[in-house]
Amino acid sequence: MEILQYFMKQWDRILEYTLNHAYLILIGILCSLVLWISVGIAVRNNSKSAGTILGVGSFLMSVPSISLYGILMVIPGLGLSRTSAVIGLVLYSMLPIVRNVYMALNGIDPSILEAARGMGMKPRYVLWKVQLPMALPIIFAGIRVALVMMVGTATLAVYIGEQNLGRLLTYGIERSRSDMIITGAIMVSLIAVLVDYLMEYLQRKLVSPGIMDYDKKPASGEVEYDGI
Amino acid sequence: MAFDWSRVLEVLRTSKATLDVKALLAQHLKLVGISLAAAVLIALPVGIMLTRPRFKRYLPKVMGVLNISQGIPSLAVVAIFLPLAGIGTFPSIMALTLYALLPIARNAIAGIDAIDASIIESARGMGMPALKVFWQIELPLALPVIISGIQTAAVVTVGTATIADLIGGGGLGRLIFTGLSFFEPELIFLGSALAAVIAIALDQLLGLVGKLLTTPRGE
Amino acid sequence: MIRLENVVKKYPHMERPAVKNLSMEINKGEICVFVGPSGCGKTTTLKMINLLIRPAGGKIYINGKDVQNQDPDKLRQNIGYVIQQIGLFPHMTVYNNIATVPRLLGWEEKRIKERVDELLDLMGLYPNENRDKYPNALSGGQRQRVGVARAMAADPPIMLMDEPFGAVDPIVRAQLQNEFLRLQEKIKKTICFVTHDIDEAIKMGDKIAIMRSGELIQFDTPENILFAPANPFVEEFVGFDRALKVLNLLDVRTVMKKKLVTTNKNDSWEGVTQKFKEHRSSFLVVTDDRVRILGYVNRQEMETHTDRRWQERIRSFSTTLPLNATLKDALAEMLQHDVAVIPIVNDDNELTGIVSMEDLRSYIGEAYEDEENDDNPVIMVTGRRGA
Repeated sequence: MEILQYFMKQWDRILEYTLNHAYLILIGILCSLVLWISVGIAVRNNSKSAGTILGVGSFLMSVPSISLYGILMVIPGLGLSRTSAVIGLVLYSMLPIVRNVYMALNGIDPSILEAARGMGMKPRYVLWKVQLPMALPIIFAGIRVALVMMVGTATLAVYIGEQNLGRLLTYGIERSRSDMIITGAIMVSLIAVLVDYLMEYLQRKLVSPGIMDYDKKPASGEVEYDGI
Repeated sequence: MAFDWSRVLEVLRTSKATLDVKALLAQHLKLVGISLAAAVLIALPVGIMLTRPRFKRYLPKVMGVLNISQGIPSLAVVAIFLPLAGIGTFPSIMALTLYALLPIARNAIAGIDAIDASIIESARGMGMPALKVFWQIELPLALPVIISGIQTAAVVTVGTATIADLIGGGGLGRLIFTGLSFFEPELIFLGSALAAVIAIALDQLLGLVGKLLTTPRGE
Repeated sequence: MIRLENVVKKYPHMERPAVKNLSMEINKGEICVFVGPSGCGKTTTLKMINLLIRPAGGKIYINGKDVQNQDPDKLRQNIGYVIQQIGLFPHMTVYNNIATVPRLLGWEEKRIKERVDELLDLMGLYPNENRDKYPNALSGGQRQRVGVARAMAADPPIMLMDEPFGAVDPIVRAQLQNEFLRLQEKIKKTICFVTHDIDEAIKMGDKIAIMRSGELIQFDTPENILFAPANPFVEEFVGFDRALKVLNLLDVRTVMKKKLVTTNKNDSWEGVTQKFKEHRSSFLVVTDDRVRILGYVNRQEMETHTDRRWQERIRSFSTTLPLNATLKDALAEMLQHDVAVIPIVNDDNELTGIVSMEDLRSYIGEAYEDEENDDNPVIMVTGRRGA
């Protein structure tokens, strides 16, 4: 198969692209986490600000990522650089992360928070020891979405100068080379799927089993019906 | 690169074939419209069918596949159609439709699944035929989530359509990629801004449609 | 009217059948309550009657017709179905919820409107206020009532109810139970009722079917189940306070004495003592010359206080009870007011009879007489003691 041949022949180039891809995503997600989780926590009690912020995030997501890069490229001081690429990734992941942080923190049963405060916990303590741990599954889900999206967004970052797996796709299209296209498509898809699985695995490991409702069985005494 | 606003206006007024903004806009809308419609026509029925008792056992597997494919970058999906179907409008539509299937199907399934089982049980227990239960109970109750899925798909499709130009789809992507190739930021900006506007407009429009179709529940 | 013959239900993932060889007959116009511990098969049985669950074996007949030969939808349109979570359609008004089955049956809108209003009225909900409300604007009790109204909309002869009053608090539940019983007096439907609460079963049921592990253990009237439990399981399930439960079941008319033994306040001590001996009663009603009731004297007190000033020991009746009061009410009043005797009055407040602690004790005692021979130490002390 020509694809396999291509893969073998260009192995080092592909590896370099993959590493760049991974590196970009890594920086992207780290910056995003620091930034957006803080924002989410900051607006957790202010539904008006949250509304505005989520509106901005939503707007950012409606802009096609290529457009985002296009606009960033134009801004003096940024241009074709890794910084622009990272900014693009970070902006794109605003909505999933902020929204999930906000919803998770606000979705906790108020009686739990009341109990915590009633026990004499200071608000800061409640946030770190009760709210955030309980919000973890949903926040994690948001990070997972953002991360998987980032694999795709990073692919397009080749238009802003990045040298990653997106190159295989864009070169392949330009030169009508199926082997490059298919290799590129398989590689990015593989990475996306791997990232997704990894996140799911981590989620299972890190989040307290008490908050997950994975295998919900009907309460005893509840008889299901044959569904006819 | 200095940004030249007058250039933007100039391009808007031009009727040069390659940069005819109006035509490209129309082309973009056509791409999005057809793909979205096709995706809805395929994904909705399939999604709904998967929630029916007879097919329920296939649901986890299908959802698994759908969820995996969620991560595949749009560029990969678009690019893969080149060796498969060549370039032009048709391959672009195929790629866009494929990409839009997921959010629609997923939300259709989630929306119906989320309905409290006791509502369905009491409906069937009263003697409501299964078909009536679907049209009068399940669909209306799942509609908000289904429409939300279509909204997501719409926004995503507008975005993906910009890349479709790479395989000959045209549309606003033409402006963007031309701008990229010739280092003309004004073109990039124009194409991007217009795409963003369409995306937001569609989102709002569908949201409105959703509100109109949803029965009030006094909530 | 409903007959089950050797009905069996087995799920593939379960070791033992959910319902094993169940045979019983439910008469028209009766409330039959299925009761038992979790997993006993009561809900499964109920759902087989309207084919929400298909029997694996056996037959179910309604009015002689095999339910499995009928179109399930049509079958269910003629059976009212109420479940614990109610399942009101959240996107429909109360009106449209109730109108569901009539519409399926093709009633005309005018008739439906009349019926909805009639039902809302019957359920104690003002039609004009509630007709156009959505379920989320209703309280739990109101939702339950709408659920029952919806099930009764097409006036089905049979109703299946699975813990219909379970989702509300005890006070509302008691109200709903009473309202429903009153309703049943008027409409006399055939009702199959599932509950895990034995007290609810005793209160609501004309017949009770006690189930365990898929089998029917005892199918009988509440009185028989309380007075003659079939085996230790039933005894325990009914509760070792079943004597008290019996009190709740029977009303004062069961033990009340209509003939009053009276004595005049001017009677001598000897005369009174003589009357006590003659009538072997534990109390005597004391009247004045004009046969107006002054109170009563207690035999025990007479015997304890040897002075002859019996008139000083005339106790007045501090409380009365209506005819439909239960024996439990009577006992409660006696304990609370520290009296041994309570007059029973009718709706016009006329004295109709009288109940004494002694009457209560002897009635219960006689009923449980046989169990004196058991070595179960928890059974209430029985027997007649000399008063």
